This record gives sequence, structure tokens and C-alpha cells, in this order.
Amino acid sequence: MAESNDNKVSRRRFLGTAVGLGAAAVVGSSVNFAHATTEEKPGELSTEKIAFRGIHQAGITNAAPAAAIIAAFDITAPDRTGVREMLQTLTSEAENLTQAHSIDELGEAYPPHDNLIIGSDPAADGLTITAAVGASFFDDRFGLKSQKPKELIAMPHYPNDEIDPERVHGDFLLQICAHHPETCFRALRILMKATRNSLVLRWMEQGFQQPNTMKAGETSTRNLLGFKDGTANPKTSDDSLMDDIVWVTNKDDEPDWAVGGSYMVTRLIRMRVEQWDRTSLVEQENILGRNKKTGAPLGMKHERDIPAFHERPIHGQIPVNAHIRLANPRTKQTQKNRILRRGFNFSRGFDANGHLDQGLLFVCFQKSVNDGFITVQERLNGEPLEEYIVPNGGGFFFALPGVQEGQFLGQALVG
Amino acid sequence: MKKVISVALLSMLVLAGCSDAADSNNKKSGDVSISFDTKKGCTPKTSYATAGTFAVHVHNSGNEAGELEILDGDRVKGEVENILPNTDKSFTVKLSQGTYEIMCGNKQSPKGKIKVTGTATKDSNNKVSKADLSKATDAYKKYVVEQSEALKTSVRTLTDPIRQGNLAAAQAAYGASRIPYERIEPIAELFASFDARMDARVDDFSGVDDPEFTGFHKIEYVLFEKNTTDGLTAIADQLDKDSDDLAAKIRVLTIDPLDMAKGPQALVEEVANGKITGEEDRYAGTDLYDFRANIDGSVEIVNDLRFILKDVAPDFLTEVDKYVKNVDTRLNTYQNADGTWKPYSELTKTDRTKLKADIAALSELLSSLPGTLGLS
Repeated sequence: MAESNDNKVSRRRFLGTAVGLGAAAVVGSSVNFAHATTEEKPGELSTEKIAFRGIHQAGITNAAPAAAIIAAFDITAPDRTGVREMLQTLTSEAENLTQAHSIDELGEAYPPHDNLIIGSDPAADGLTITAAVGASFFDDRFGLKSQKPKELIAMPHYPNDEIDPERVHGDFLLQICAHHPETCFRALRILMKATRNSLVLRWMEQGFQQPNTMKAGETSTRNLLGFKDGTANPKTSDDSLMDDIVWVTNKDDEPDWAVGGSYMVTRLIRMRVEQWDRTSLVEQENILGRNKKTGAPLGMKHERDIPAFHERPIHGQIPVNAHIRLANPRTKQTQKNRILRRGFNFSRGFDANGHLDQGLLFVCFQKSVNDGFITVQERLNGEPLEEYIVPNGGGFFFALPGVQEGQFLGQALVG
Repeated sequence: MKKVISVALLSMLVLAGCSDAADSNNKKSGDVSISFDTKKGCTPKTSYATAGTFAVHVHNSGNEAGELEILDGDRVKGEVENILPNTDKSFTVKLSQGTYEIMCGNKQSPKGKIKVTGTATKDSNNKVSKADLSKATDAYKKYVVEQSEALKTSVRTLTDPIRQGNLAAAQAAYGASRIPYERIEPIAELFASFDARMDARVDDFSGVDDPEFTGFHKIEYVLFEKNTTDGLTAIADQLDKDSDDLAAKIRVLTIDPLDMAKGPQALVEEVANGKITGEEDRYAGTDLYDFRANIDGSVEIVNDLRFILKDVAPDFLTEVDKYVKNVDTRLNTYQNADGTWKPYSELTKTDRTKLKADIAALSELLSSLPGTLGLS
């Protein structure tokens, strides 16, 4: 964007420029690099509006945008009535935010409702707000023990984990995604302001990524190890596939209220990036099982090629303990172990050793956490990649079913 | 809950898309009435209104259910959904000057218009009479003066043993000696130089040995970290003098209603921003004395304003009382039978989390107190 000669360039335009550059890879969204203007317009934000209501929540099968916040909370509401009020408030605020409804302000003597982080007339910016509950939501407090999704447990400790007790589990979780981080933070602050009496932050991570610009089966998105991430993800536009992999349906042995929801696993996976960057290319590729540059499975040409898993791989073929092979052996029996990954990168400065503290804010959705993440993780336990990664937080949750017209989030659960 | 508060207490904020309880028999001048038929659109086709916040009363004169939305381009400024045939619903909308399109029933229905003229009127600034506000500030002034007098005495329960070299007595007196100061903290802080000498924390200085670091927290550091009264005499004398001088200043202070109205939130914010972590009295661990005193001071102001709030914002008052009670219930389990308070470190993680929520909710709520009283 050209610099304007006009001195009266608005603050918002400056913001738009700054964040716009970061999101230059967004293709297909309507990020509008408008010409310089003295008028404050939400032009730099995307006008993409993702429906809030439906049989499933948004933010699961939509393509992941550039920015995300995952925030896990302790619920301090004393009883189910308090939880119901919290969910009603959240529904109303989340709908207003995601649908870019304008909100009346009370007047100058009051603190404003909107923090104006993204300007006085904010666009939806592809915002999604997804709510999920943890296993502890179903303890004695709210009388919902019998309604717990069958497979929902507190995240178990895996052999390579070094869990930080301050960054794990939670009664409730919000996943907030949008094209710009400011949009996420605006939403988080409004949502938290509205629920102060019942939600207290437990842990939080901010995620970022380059949205995929390629068609299904290929990806331009790379993780902080520099490898393409998401190539083998199931096609989210295929509704019946999503019913097979992601959504709890009425055929599953789950409480009625849970139909339309999905098990949501979050993992904060620190990557030892300095050590990784000192590792030879061939070793990196053998650890993952793909060509770093093209994303093609080792021994193949194209990213979309089906990997060949040889029993006794030779040099240049996928090793038996390569990440992609353990994660998805692609046998008939392991089809049901597929999951929908929707992760982000995170970065939190550096540690006492002077090492960058960054990694993967892993998020995945599945209709069965036993068949999905748990089985996959058990196969991955002991993989060579573990030398470079340290999972240190996260939690298991269940993303609530969608909000139907006239209902609020979790209404079928809390009544 | 915010929604409950804003809608119930103020009955002004109505979220876009929220139909409220106002029925059509309750129309005010400035309101707009529109009927629609999904087939024919709106009647009248063009409505007129004056800029500002007003109610829109909607009647469905057609044969199928529909909704009505006021649109600014593709942005919904206000809406009401699922209006059954021959029924009425209302919503409140805030519009500035301009012409807006109306969706009359559903997307296929013929569109209507609303023309908004004139300028929005500001919220009334005289919700509460001056006489009532004076009555409240007089009551609060009396409390503040009492506390500042009490401070002169309580400070000496700390400084006398210091001068006598009685470490145990000084340590025992520390927590309670601060109570009057913490109760009127926003008022004391109006006198910045006193506050800096009397109550600044070590973080405001280059370190514990900074000669500028004086007052309560320097005394706390030496008593609890160095375990001695040595070298504190001059600081104790200064604290005595400051508390005397502060009381003299407060005696002639005129309390501004706005300052007073901001007080409860300021006091609760003191807790929310620093005391929840236990950093205020980090050497002595006596944070719960301060915690309690801040809440006491906050409640005092609410009580002084109670006769006004009962009329102008009864629901607000109920909510405030509810959260104060929550905080009291949780906090007071940490008080010993003799009136002393347990060390802050004994606060359980669960209680800390719950206090965080109650304190934050109270702070959020009290941030509307000046607005509720029409003060800005």
C-alpha cells in the first residue's frame, strides 16, 4: 500500500496496513487492501461473515484462518443456573460479534461495551467463536455427571509429556479464530467482560498460521518445523465424511445432547527449534516421512501421492517409525482413527536457556477420542520426533453441538 | 451477569437483535411503529424517527411468521425475529442521522425505509438531584474523616513498639495498623505525596535500600524480612507525622460526587490488580487485612449512596449486594476468632479462583456506578 501524503491518515488505516502485510497470503478471503483514505472504514478487515447458528458450531470444519486464541477457563458459577446464564450471555455476545451486529453504547459516563480494538464499525473478519467443555464440567457441581460424553476424560499424561500444571485442562474452553489477531482479542475481551462472574482464565495460547491457499489434499501451510502440515487432513466439504470422522451423530453411543458436537483435543507442543535447525535435512525428512520442500511422501513425487509404506524400507523410502506412518498407517483398520487437525503455531518469547519458546498449538476434532487422538498418540509414543518436541499443556474437551435458532449454546445439556 | 445488569438495571442498553419486554401498549414519544406482511412489505413504507435510541414496535399483519431488520448497508442495526402472524414484538435501536433499509418479513419481502433526522440527544446528566448527591457525599465525608482519625491511632500501635524496639509487638500490629488507610485509599491517594511516602511498594523504587522507600512497606520489609526494628525510628516518626497531616488535609477536603462514585470500583480494582496475587504485603503476608479493608471502604460508599440507588437502579444494587456477600462469605472464613486474619498463603487455590471471579464481577459492575448516577 502506498504511503499517503495526507497527514490525516487514520489510526485504523495504519493498523490495517500492519496486519494486512502479515496476512498477505490470505487468498480467497476478502481482505481488501483499500487505497489510503482519511475516512475510518473497516475496509482492511475481511467482510467474511461465518454463520453462527446451525447444527454444528463454526470454527471446526471452516478452513483455519490466520489468527486464533484458545482460552481455557475454570467455571466459578455456583450451580447449573449460573452456568446456564453464562452460556446464554456467551451466545448473545458471540452472535453479535461473529455477525457484526452493532451494539448500543450506554453513553459517555459508562465504560464502553466495545473496546474499539478494530475500529468503530467493525466487520466480521471471518470471526468464529467455538465453545467446548472439559471432563471437569461433569463433576458434582452442576448435576451433569450422567450427561458426560462417554469418552471424555482429563487429558492423560503421555510418556514424552512435561506438563506445566498452569497450562493444562479446564472446565470450559473458547476457541476464537479470525483473519486478524486484533479481531480475536477484541472478541475475547468482550466475552470475558460479559462473563466475569463465572469464567476465570486457566490457561491461554495465541495461535497464528498461514491459511492454506491450495486445494484439498495439498497445502501451503507449514508448521514451525518448516514442514507442510495438514496434507492428509480429511476433506471438510464432504459432509458424510465429516459425519464419519468429526461429528457425533445419533448413531453413536453418546448422550442425546451431544449429537452434532465433537471431541476436541488441544495440545501445547513446544518445539526445540534450535536443535531442529541443527539437524540434517535427510534426518528431518526421515523423522517426518515427507520431502521438506514439496511435501511429497518420501520416494514419491507429489504432495498428494499416497505414501508407500514398505515393510523393510531402504534409503529414500519412508522409515517404519516416520511420523506420518505412525500417525496414519492408511490401512483399512486404521481408517476410523482419522482426525481433523486444525492447529496453529504459537510463540511465547524465549526460555531461561535463551531458546525460542515456540511450537504447535495442536487442535484436532473427532467423533471418538478413543479411536481418534488417543489411538494415534499411542502409536506415536516413542517416535523419533519426540527428541524435538515437548508437549507441555492443553487438554481434552468436547465442542458443544451447534446453536439452533432460538436456542443458546449447550441448551440441550444444561436445560 | 452482564446482560442481566445492563438490560435490567439500566433498561437502556438493548443488544441488537434482542427483543425486549416492552409491549406495544407502552409506547413513548419518539418510538416507531411498523407493521409488516411478508408478502406486501412494511406499512408505512417509509418511517421517520429522530436520531438517538428509540423503540421500534412491530406488528405482523400477514399470514406467515417473519422478522424485521433495520439495515445499514449489509449491517444489521437492530432486529426482531420470529414474529408470528397477528402478534407484536418490540426492540430498541440506536440510529444516527441517515436513511436505512428495512427488511419487512423475510429476504424476499418488499423493502421498507426509515429516515432518521436530527441529532442524538445525550444521556440525561441529571438523573439524581444535587441535594441527594450532597447528602451522600456528606455521609461519606464523615466516614473518611473518622477513618483518617482512626489512622492516627492505628499507626501508633505500629510505630510505638518500633520506637521501643519491641519487634514482636510491631509485627503483630502491622496488619491491622493499615486498615483505616486501605478503607479510604482512593481518598488518601488524592494526596499523591502522602501516598508515595506512606504506602508505596518497593517496586516503585530502585530497591529496598532506596532512601526514598519509606512508610508502611519499608517498615514491613525491615520487620518481617530483616526481623528487626533497627533503623526504623525515623521512618516511624515520619509515618506518624504523615498520618496526622493527612487527617488535617482530609478534614477540609470537599468530596466530589464523581470521585466518590468512582471510589468503590477503584477500591475493588486495588484488590483485583494487586492483592489477589498477594504482592501487596509480600513480606508480612497480611494482605487479607488490606483486602477486607478495601472491600469495607467500597461497601461504605455503596451504603452512603443506597438511598439513591434504591430508586434509580434497584437491580444494580441487588447485584452489588450479591457479589459483596459472595466475597464476604469466602473472605471471612479466613478470619480468626480474635479478629486477626490468616496469612495470605493459606488461601486455597479454589478460593483464590472464586475470589478472582467475584472481585472481577464486582469491579465490572461498579464501573457502571458513575454512569448509573449520571455522573461523568
